[in-house]
Amino acid sequence: MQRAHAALQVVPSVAAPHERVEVPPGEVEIPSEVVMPGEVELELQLDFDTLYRRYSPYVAAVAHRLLGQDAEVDDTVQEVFIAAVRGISQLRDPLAVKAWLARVAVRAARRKLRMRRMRSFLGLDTPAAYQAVADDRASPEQRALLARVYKVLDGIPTNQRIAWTLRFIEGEQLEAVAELCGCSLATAKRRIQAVSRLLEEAFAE
Amino acid sequence: MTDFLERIESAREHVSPRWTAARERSLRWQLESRLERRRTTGRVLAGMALVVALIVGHLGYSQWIDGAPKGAVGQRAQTTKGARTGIGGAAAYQGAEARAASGRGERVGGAEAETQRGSALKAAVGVASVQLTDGTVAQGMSADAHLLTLEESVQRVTMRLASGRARFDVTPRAERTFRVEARNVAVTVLGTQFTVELLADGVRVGVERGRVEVEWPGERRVLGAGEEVTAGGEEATVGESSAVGGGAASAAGAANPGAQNTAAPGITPPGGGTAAAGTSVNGNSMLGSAAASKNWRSLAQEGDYAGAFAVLSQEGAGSIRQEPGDLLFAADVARLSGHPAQALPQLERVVRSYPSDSRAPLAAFTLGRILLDSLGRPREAAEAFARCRKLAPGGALSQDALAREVESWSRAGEATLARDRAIQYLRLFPGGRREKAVRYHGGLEGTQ
Repeated sequence: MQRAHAALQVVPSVAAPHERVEVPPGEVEIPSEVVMPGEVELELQLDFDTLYRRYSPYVAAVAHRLLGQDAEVDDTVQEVFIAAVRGISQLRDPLAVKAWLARVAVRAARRKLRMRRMRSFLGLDTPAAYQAVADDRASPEQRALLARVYKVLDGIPTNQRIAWTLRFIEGEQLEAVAELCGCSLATAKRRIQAVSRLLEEAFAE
Repeated sequence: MTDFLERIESAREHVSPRWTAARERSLRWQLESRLERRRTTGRVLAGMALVVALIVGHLGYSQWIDGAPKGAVGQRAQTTKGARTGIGGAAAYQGAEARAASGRGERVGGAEAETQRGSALKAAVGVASVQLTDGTVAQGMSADAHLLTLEESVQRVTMRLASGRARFDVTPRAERTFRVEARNVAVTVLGTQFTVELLADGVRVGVERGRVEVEWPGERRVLGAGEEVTAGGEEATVGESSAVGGGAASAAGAANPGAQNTAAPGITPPGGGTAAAGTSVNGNSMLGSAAASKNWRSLAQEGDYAGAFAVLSQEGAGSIRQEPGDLLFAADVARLSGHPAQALPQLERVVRSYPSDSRAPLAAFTLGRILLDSLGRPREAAEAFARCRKLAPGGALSQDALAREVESWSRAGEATLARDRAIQYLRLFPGGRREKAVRYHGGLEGTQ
């Protein structure tokens, strides 16, 4: 152990016996393992189990909001964590894990949405359960609103839909939307505005 | 904001999946199966590529080896049924033919018998390494490093270091045990990067990252990052104890650090053997006759914590005064001599029996650190850190105790508790020195 920081008004640590003094009442010995001001002790272990346990609910939530259909959420989560097994070790900043996972989730959702539009174009799609978009705590009005929104979103180009959903359903700031979509800020704004206009027209009727 | 967007804003929180613990577990299982299928496919493809390479290169390779001078640099891998070693990256062994090194006049020492039942990798000049199919790498760190893979399956990987020094970078997998044997010392990996070195008088194990459990006759110890131990000096088979009498007791004490005995908690009774008989920790000198004449406090004050622990073990916990200062001193001796589990009872006694003592919060904090960092018991660690804060709510340790409690709950898999404590930390200590770590462990990155 090292001598504790003087700014904390401490006495030498227990493990420096040659400097050991009796601890007077009211004072506390501080072990030097305690992080001193200005230092950051950060031990990050990005093992897969911890990663999955901590972030699977978040990834599932992002996938659900982007896709609007619960049936595709599990597969999307699997895709994201399979990508995580391969790619997470290349992450320079472990604290950027969440944002990295979100980007992967957006890419996976984009693929699924494009496939869905293709199936719809070919007449191969299955009826969507729009009423299941909202959870059990939603009021009937909210459930109906969200069902109608997602029905409209299903008819909108994928990139525009994703940008709008990230902005107004996920609640991300514009800069974050642009980063997650892999486009410029101006492009993200343009996509969001296009969808906003469509939705406002649809709900104005 | 338009009326429509206001309605969306109030409704958007309800766009969430029905994500239950059962669903999370089920998906985890499916994910693992999918990853295993990919690994199996990878192994099959790698195996097919190997067969093709062997067919193409066999004759020319044999001619090159026959023409090479004796003692040439080269590795032989002998695979037998049921034993296999993955190929990858920096792997320096080639071929799957059975050709014992001893058959070529090279001495392989005590590992000769091993070659009959395992794959052998013997480094000659330079560094050789073995990479398993999951990315785990075992790398020879000396010219005489001799590594053998005794077993590799989904549940268990066992390697043997027959000579030299090797470094292991193990991919953590909860369902698989990774074990390295070196003489009569066994290292079980709990997810980490570590080195094992055969010395003339023992085996040195050092941990660079994560944790390992090191076991030798009569003793078992968990090492954390930055810690090392030199153990198992005698060339005895596993199971024999070089300690006298109390080997089983000390092993039991190490395995169950909370065990109480009639003498005192956690300390092997007088007359029991200890690991000090065959162990040195961090280079400290082993117990000798001169040290025995000093009491444990004197030895500790001189910095000889290993000697102090040995004496304390022999004298028994009856030599510890039942007051906070001496209890903490004895706990320090145990901890700093590489016996963190033996420090727990002293620390718990301070917290339990002397809660109003000014040192009780420190004891609780140290208890938490040992449980979390040395013994891998995060749930108990969280409770210890919580106790530290309860004993001194506004004390100097409260901020760090709360931060470490967040980390502990996170490691214990209690995400909700970790998050709650993290929110509490951010409220109580805005801009605190542990904010970055707290946000990470509490799952609050990117939030305000």
